[in-house]
Amino acid sequence: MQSLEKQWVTACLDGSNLTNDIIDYAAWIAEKVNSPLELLHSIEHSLLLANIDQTGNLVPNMADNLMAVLSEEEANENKLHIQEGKALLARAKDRLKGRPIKDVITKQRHGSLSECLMDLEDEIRVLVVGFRGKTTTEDETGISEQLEESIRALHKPIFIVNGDFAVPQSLMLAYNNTDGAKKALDMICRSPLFEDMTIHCVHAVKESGADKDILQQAAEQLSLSGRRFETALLSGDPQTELLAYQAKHHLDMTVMGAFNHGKLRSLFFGSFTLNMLKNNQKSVLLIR
Amino acid sequence: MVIGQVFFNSSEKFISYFDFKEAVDKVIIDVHRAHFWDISAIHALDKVVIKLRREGADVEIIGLNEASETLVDKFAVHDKPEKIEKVMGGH
Repeated sequence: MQSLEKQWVTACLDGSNLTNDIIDYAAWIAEKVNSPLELLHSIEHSLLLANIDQTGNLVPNMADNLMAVLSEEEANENKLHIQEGKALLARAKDRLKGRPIKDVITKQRHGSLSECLMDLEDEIRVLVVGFRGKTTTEDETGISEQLEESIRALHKPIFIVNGDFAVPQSLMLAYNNTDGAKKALDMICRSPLFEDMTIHCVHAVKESGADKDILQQAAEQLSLSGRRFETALLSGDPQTELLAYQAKHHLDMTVMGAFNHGKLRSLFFGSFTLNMLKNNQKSVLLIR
Repeated sequence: MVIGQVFFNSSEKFISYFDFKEAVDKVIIDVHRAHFWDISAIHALDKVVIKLRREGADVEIIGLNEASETLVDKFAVHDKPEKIEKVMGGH
């Protein structure tokens, strides 16, 4: 395992509308935590060849050539995607010229985003990814399958960009008694990324009055770290209350533990993490 | 650069040294310090070249020695599109 400062802040780029914001957030994180920055573009093969219509192309004795034709089409399609990706990465690198970042490299990989991330997991410190990808349509309101798979695949902090870049001044830590939330609190107390921010440590429970100790412990830890913070105990539906609190206090981002329960439980009861992401108007930092 | 003897016992290892997931537009396989001994070795070379080409890379092999070149000319299919299916069927 590499030391933290040698690990990369990795920005996943696909040419979506959020591309520049992803680059800016990734650069901001890399500068703050003094890590090198990696700009990553993945070429998803399942999306290739989708636009080639082979119907009506069958001719006698074509079996010998069919494989060669398909291979050539696949190769041409891949060549095109490599070139497009290279141009995208070059533009992204240009945007970062003059920024005080330790090192900036670009990388292109074949395979789905989640496959790429699993391959690179050891070298990633923080992943920065857009809430909406290039293939996400305007009327899709949920989390794309690709994003969910990527979040579940990677056990590193994941910053999900959900709007225009602005240096965050405040954040909401959605805190509860799970390992993910404790890890998030620990990270907030230690990482230089959060030293200038106002932290709102918020605990939401369905019944009022319970779990005050949880907040008390978090407050002590924040106090010891010297962070500027406030705490709040909310009662009601956690998702609704947390999002309302964030909107009311105009907090710039959310930090929370993610996927504390398995995929099977999420299937029946829904995932709190996915619901928070889906309904959040701000960027979210997920801690696995 | 490939260094060493490629034959039935080392051909899988030869393939495993290539990172097919890295997206590149040009690959030069320098084999001037390698020797391809048998059909298994040529088959392995075919697999590597065809896979890289399918992924969009231009592949060039340089430095084949005379004996290896004879085998490549005789048995390799990576430049014979009509025979590719026999090597890569199902891949």
